[in-house]
Amino acid sequence: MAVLANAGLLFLVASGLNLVFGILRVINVTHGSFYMYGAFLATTLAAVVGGSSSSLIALVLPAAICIGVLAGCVEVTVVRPLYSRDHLMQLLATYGAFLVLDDLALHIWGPQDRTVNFTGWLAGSLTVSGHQLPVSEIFTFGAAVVVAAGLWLVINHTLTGRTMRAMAEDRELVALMGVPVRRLYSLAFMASGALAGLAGGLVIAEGTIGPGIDVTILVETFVVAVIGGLGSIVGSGLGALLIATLQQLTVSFAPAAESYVLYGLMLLVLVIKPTGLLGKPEAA
Amino acid sequence: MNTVELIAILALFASGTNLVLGQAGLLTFGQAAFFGEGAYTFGLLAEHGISLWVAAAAAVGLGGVTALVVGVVLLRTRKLYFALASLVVSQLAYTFAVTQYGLTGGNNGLYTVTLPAFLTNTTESAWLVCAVAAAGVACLIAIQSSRFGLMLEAIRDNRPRVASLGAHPAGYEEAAFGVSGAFCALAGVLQFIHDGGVAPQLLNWQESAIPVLAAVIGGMYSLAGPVLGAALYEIVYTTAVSGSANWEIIFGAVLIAVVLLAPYGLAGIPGQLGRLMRRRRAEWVHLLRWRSP
Repeated sequence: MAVLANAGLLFLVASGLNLVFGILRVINVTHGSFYMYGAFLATTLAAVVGGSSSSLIALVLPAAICIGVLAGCVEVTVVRPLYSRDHLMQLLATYGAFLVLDDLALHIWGPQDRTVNFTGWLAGSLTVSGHQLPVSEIFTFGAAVVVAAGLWLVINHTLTGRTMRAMAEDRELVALMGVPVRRLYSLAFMASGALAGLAGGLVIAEGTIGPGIDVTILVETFVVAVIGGLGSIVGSGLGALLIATLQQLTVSFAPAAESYVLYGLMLLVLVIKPTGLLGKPEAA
Repeated sequence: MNTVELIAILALFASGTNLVLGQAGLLTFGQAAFFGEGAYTFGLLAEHGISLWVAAAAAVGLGGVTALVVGVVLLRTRKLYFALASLVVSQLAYTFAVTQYGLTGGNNGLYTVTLPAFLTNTTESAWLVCAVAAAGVACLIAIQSSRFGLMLEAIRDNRPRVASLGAHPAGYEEAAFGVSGAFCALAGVLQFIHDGGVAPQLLNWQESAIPVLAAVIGGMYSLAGPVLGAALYEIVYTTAVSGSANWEIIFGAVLIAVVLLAPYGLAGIPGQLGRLMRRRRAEWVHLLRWRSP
């Protein structure tokens, strides 16, 4: 179950990154910050309402929405002026924002690690045919499945989703049809930030968090997203499952080799298929 | 003098990176792998009593060879995949340095090497470091203005066209990556001399970002850009840290401002202003002519 919970978290973060890349063609480095802010915000809220499971779960969604709004602010100020510029500039601008947010978080929440001790059903575990399954892990995985289903529905079966896919194909043509392209870009960016914030909110149920988790999750997310193929939501699910399984296996059998396996797999995938498993080659 | 020395080292590191980044147009976030490799190789060889010149030469050579090997893998990918793959190379090197405790000293780094007196004397070693760095930058500028450098620019601007003219773009990119790796390793050797040792942090992707930032801030489409950027970076860093200001906030803001307002970096600002002035003048001329008859 730990594998599935971890895969769920990675999927939530990586799908947000891929959502933005698929539609906006921007690699968003601040994605790691959104995750960290989600986690810190959730610990602050937990300190206010106490560790009762139900009240906390009720707070994860509003926290994620706050992070979505933060993402919207970043999009409008930093990313929006750069849509017509090359990839490197977009990457560096978001890296600048990442540095600012990183230091700001240190000021707001301080350098210490934080743990939230839950009371109530989330701290318990279910026994299924002799195996102890922590409820928090089942919950995390469940949330990821719900989000995956929601994303699939929105992208494939709503007008907004169809428009977004069309924008990924040809932005100018869609703009000529009278679609408010900029507003939809902001929407996609905010949704992506909210996904990262949600993952951050969920991770506090799994263990201790502290400054620096933005960097850790960012690198892991890049690996997951690249293995699955940049811009592919299904790919990020596949990559998340693959990486979570591998992480669990190496932790059990060869703990020293964990990072090697992670990075090695990514390079191997790129050698065999330079656009990731499910990625499409980029047009010019 | 210390700041000047740091500027010289970063100028070399950033110029070496910019051969790949600005001139060949490949977004690399992995040059710290070669930078750190140079530092470690030099340190480990010096520790085993090998002549310093041989150690330095070996470090540079090994940096170039590793870059060639890594390049074969990385250059299969393009654009953002290249950026993220090179970032992972940097992380891989960092992991290696942290986990191979017996070889590298792990997180403690390598600070036990006794360097000869002329390298521990701060004034003398600073002169030496600056001189070597300046020579390295001069070499890089020569390479960048040579036929080879111009070919890289042509490939950056229109790869299919160069290929259709009968040249072999991948070969040029591969060579550029190797040369860049060698110069980054040289910068690493100098950094080792300056710090009197090396720690694994010199290899991770945040370190890889520093020369990229210096090159972009200075102007990655000009020869002097990386040097200018290196100077600005180190000066802002030293002032911010000594004033215990919020370094990351300041730097992040500077970075965003440069990217938004001066896309060709500091070196590009005169050109930008010139264009602006010419446009204004053209408008005035137009207005006057329109009213005169």
